[in-house]
Amino acid sequence: MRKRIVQEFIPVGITVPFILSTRDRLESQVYEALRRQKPPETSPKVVPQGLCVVNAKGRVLEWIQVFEDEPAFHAFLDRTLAAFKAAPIEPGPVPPKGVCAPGKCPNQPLPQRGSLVGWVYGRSLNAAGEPTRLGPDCREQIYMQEETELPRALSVRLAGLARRALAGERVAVPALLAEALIREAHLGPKDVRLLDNPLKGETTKRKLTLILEAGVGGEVKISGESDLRSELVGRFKHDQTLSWRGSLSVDAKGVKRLVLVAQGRYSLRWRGADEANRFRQLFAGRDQDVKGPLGFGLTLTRAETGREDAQLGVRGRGPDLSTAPVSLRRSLERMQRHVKGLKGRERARFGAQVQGLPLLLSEKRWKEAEALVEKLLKK
Amino acid sequence: MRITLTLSILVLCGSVASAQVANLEREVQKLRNAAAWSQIPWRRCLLKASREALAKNKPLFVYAIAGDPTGRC
Repeated sequence: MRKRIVQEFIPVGITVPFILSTRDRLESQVYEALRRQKPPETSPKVVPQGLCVVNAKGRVLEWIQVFEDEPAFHAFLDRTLAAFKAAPIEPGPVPPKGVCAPGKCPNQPLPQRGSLVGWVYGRSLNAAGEPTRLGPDCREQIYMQEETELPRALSVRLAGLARRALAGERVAVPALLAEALIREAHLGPKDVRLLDNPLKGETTKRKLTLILEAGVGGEVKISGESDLRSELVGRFKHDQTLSWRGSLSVDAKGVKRLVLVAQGRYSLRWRGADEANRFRQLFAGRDQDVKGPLGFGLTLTRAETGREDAQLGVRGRGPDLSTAPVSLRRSLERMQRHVKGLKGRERARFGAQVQGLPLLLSEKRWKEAEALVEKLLKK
Repeated sequence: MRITLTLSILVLCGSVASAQVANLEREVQKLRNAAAWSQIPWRRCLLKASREALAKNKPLFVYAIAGDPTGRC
């Protein structure tokens, strides 16, 4: 599978909201061409997601969202290659010249400077506590990997707590911060997320504690427990109990590095969409019923360079703006344009005023976030 | 003598801390899977990929997702 994609195609991974949020850019024009040719059965309200093969000018040869098995996948590749050869590229302008400058491509945004960035890995374990063997069709209910970003505002808070721990105090991490740290640690698709569930499933936080204490060699020891349930009657029920341990280091600039591991148990029952709406659920279209031991690992390091504080909402690893009202997104876009026009001290002053915004966005306090942005823009 | 002892303790604590962090990192890496999907060199710039496709006369294999293409859906 991998060999064919690499040898016979040019593989591209695009994050739809990034493209859609940058309507004034050339990439969005290319993406609009894709959007216009999305599968006919897709509702206009559904963001076109899935796999598609297109020619260099963005002409869609075929979209697909679910494969029944591996032969179906190869048949898709064969069909699209044949269609590509049969339909020569139309004359006319080639894709716009030039390549996005580093940090300017809407599909490759830089992390927020000073935030903590890294990866979360999760995996089901066997009875001996070893990772279960994964086949070529490994599914999200037994393995996950996700890039993650802890916004700078939260990283600054964490550094303050870590310094208190180093001074000898036993410090409990506030719930908001603990949730931000472990939010992505779950198996299964995003739909069954335990915290901040996108399907608005009800979350029960039976326990969520992370404690910081002075460790050896200037490190801060992290320990804790989480016991969470998310449930949407008729769709899914997800329970997860974990014991956490880890370490973080701080320097004069804040948290430098954080490593967290967890082991525990989970139980996940998911009822996929009915046959008619399966395409909407993508890989999560099938019913799932799994339980057993699982483990997570998280490593984060400080982003020494990156975008300024005020340039928010362009990276999925930061605040999730997928459910933000359009008016707020427009305000943020205006703010980004405003920030681009600022220089030196003015820019730094604006950055300082907007410090509280990442927190509001992380907590989905849309009205307050919009009010803050509008207030700053009027100044 | 006291200074040497203090320094030795500090160095020892430092190495214990490094060893502990290294152990944690090993545990994290053990969970990481070398899935075929994650080994695909996904291009992230649509413009650059389009130009490459034109130059190599190949079609683009586009994975469009509301989340991160290198993560879960």
